[in-house]
Amino acid sequence: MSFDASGSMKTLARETRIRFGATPDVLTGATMVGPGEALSPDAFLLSLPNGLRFHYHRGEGVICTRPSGIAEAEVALFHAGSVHGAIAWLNGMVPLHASAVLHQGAVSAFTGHSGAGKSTLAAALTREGFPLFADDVLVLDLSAEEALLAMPGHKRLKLWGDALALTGLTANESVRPAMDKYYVSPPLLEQNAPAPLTTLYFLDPPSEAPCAIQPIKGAERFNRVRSAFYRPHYGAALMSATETFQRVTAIATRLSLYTIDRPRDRRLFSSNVTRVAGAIRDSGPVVRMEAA
Amino acid sequence: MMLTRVASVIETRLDDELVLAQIDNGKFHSLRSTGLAIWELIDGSRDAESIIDLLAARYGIARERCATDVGRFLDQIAAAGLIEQR
Repeated sequence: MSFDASGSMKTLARETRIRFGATPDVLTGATMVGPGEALSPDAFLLSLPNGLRFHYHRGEGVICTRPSGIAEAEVALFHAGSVHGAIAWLNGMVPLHASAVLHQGAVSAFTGHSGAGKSTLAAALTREGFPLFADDVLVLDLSAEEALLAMPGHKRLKLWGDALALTGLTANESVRPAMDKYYVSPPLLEQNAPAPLTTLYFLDPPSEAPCAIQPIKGAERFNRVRSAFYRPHYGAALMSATETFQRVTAIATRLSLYTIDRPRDRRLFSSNVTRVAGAIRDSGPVVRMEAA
Repeated sequence: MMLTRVASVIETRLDDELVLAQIDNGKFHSLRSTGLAIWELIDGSRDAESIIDLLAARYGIARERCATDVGRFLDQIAAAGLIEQR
């Protein structure tokens, strides 16, 4: 089964293409300016304290100014993060702050604040047989009528040192020098075509409560979807209230949303993973309904 | 004076709740149960008194109590800029 989102895939691939060169000090026509970042209706500028700078202009790709001594991994980190998110917003897509796995053609994604365990859960699920679909940023194309299409993302998971121990995966290089966070290559096959996102799980802070997966109902769905946006201030700077409302509604009405309550006790991590894996398997394959 | 929803409010139903967005200031609100029932009666053809009459009859409650609750809710959504009087 395949869904046609080749247009969005091509747009993302083309627009995220990076080359090295000179970048402007300031972004002209910026409608949003924050610390080290500026956004206009068709461009984005990211300036880091170490002198690394990214300039994106719609239709022209990304130009990176890389001072000597800045590691390639550092460039990749920001290119795959803020820059990727800005490019998605600037091209009419919606990036979620989520990691995702694939099961029978459907994507299940995990969102939560930074450090909530999105990547750790996705990494553990790859060991249960679910291919990794995206890590940290999951870009959605809302333009297709038949499904909410997710774009396959980066196949290099970023895990903290303690998460490596939990998941039993092996570290490659560290994400930044002297940071206890590492790139991990998941062991399973890669998916390079868009796939429908069917379920979004919210990783709430661990508690003393037992592991439970609960559906989210009513207006809470709306608030939860908004909370899952990646770099929401970029989206807010680009969209009117009506557009925001329409996009949140389009997502909230087409997905199953659940919270995952997790016990604080890390010894229960693997039973929690088993439970989530069961929920994903129970959700079944994507059935495409077509008129004759 | 008839009560009417302001034109700059758009809405979407999610399960048993209604999410309202004010497109002129970007604020979001949600309504459920009684609040939603009152909202549905605000269609430009009724004033507060007739809404109170209808709800008191529908739920079989004393008109006085109904008037207090409905009045409070109408004040709240008027203050939020969701309705106006014409």
